[in-house]
Amino acid sequence: MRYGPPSSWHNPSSDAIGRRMVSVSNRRNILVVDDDEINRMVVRVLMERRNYRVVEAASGPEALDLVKDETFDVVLMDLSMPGMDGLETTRRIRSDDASNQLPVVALTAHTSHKEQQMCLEAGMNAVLRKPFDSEQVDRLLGLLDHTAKGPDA
Amino acid sequence: MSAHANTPERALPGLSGSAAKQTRIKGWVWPLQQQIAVMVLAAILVFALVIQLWNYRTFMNTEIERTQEKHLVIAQNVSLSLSRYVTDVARVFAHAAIEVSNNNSEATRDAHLSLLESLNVESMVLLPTFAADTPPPNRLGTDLPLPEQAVLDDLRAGTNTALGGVQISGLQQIGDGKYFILGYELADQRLVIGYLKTDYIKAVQRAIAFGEFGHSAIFDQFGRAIAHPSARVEENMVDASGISAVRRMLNRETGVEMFFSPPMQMDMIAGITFVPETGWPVMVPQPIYELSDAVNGSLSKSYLLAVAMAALLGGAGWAVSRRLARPVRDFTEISRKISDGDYTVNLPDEERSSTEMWQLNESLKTMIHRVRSSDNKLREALRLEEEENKRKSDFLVIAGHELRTPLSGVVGMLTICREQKDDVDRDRYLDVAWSSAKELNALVDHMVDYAEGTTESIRLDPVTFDIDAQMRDMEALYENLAGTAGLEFRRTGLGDGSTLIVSDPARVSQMIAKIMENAIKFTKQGSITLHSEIFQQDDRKWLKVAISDTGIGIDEAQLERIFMPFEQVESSFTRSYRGMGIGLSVAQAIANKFGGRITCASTLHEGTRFEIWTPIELA
Repeated sequence: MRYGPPSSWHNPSSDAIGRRMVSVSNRRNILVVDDDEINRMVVRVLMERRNYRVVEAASGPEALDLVKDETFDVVLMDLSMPGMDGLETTRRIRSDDASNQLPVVALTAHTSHKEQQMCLEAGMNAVLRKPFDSEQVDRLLGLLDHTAKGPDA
Repeated sequence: MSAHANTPERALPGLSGSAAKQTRIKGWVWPLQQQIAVMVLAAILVFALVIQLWNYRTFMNTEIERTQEKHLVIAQNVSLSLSRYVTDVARVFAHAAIEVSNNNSEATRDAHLSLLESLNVESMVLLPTFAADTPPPNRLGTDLPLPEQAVLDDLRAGTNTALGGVQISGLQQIGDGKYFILGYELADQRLVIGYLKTDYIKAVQRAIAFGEFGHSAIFDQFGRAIAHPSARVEENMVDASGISAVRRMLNRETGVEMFFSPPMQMDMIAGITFVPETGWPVMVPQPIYELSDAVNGSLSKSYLLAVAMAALLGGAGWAVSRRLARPVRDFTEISRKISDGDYTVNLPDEERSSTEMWQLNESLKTMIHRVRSSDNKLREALRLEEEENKRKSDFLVIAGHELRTPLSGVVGMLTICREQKDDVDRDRYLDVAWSSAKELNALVDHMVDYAEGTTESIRLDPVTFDIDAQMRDMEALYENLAGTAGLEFRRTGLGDGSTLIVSDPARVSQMIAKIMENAIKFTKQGSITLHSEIFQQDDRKWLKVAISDTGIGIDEAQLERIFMPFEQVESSFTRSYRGMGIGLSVAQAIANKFGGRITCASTLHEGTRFEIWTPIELA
């Protein structure tokens, strides 16, 4: 029985993610996209303590460039950003064949049903509500680990 | 018309909606116009009826007067004729009685008998005196039986002197015929009687006939019918003394009498009189309905007149009722429209109206005016209320979001610190948490200011203070803040000497602070200038504070909207800068409270200049 993140996380064709990850580093790669420096800092510190490699992007276009150049295991995406917001950035990530399977998790303080719906429609896989605590991060990463290794693991 | 344009789609409770129900009438009620018309028509009908009755009585009385003339004259003619006749009969009879009793010759007897016969006296009998041994009567002419003894006794005792000593009995049935018995007492007390036939009297009676049933009738001195149009009455010598008219005649009265005729079975009107010599009643009656016919003939013309009059008056009544009811109907329509919230009503032409209608019109106008203005006030109040509610709920949504951003910083940093207590960077995390918390605090301050501004509860406490000193304080504060942001700060104008003014220093500082925060926030590099001066304009003294920056500037299209709350929020996901955008609207609210204003001029990518204008007094 499965729950939580959508099918793309455990799609058998996503074994490319694991292969590339192994070829670059032993640590998993996380991209944090947020215009707010403090928020990026929080995510970075929490993830590095969990042995993740964290790459930061302060805007949507910056994130798109990074996604083209690097391979990430997951993207944590803030919704409200100047210029290109998180929804638009996610849509562009999804429109590229190379990244259309990349898990994207929304980071947002907007938690109404309508906003969650907008996130899912833009192609996001999950929503992490701000402010979040250690347990919520662990739960999300556990889910990510489980699905990335696949049902066989 | 403005009222029309302002009519909102939404109906106000109490002012409309129930109107349709109210116009529905319970039960059955006539329209006013019909009521008036019916009343007028009824009045006309009653009037016409009274006129007709009056006419009828008048015509009837006239006719009765005429009858008095006509019928009575005829009756008197008949009476006169009979009077002459019985006088002649009596004279001839008396003469004949004397002659025949003295001279018993055949010739004398025949001559007198034939003379008497020409006067309808059929025969004569010479009766002896009372003595028991009297010889049988000497019969002259035909041998009619003698009348009853009582009749003869009456004749002997007779006192009638009108006919020269000749007595005349009531009508008697003698054999097959009807006769009056004439009596004349000779000097030797013998009685001569004669039999007078009724032929002449009947002929006279029969000669009178007019109209359909107009006739004459003659009775004897006891009220028995001598000559009458009814054969039965005449044949039986019916005693008519019970009839009022006959009784009056028997009492020797002359005049006009109305009575019910048993043989005719009709109400009659008659001229009545009598024959003086004999006391015989003579009447000339006619059925009253024949008179009514004549009256009705006259009346029918008067009916025509009445109908014409009724039609005329009815038309007039209709016009009057229309004139009365139309304005009422108009006003009803107007009130209905007003209650539906439609004030574009056309009031009736007041010049053509009556005084009352003019007054009604005027009060209605006043009423419409008042209702319209109070309605508009209510709608305006409602609109403002709705706007206010919308603003408040928008404010809550945006405030909630805005508060979360620094809050997530605080919570995030505290999460990091809690998770790993021996982290070497712990102090740095706590510093970030601290500054986020301060940011949160500043936001709450803004919100309170804003709430204060929107509820117009800003209070001004004017005091005398040194504006130069205050500008120096500002310089110290913002030089530091701008420097931290990497910007240059300049102060010009006031701030070098000492100028005492009367105003609210805290509020002035607050306005400057809001704009200064904005300037620092939107300026990445360059400088910020704070300039202030006092000058005179429009008979007032003003404090002008100008804050110029070299920041990103404001789009011309956005310029007029910047003082509206939350205008910084274009789209909740793509805002470029933090903050709720209420600083400027709070500043503007304070300036308005002062009776001043804040203006803004800007060039995109080059900079923005705000001016705060506050009316002051020099101390």
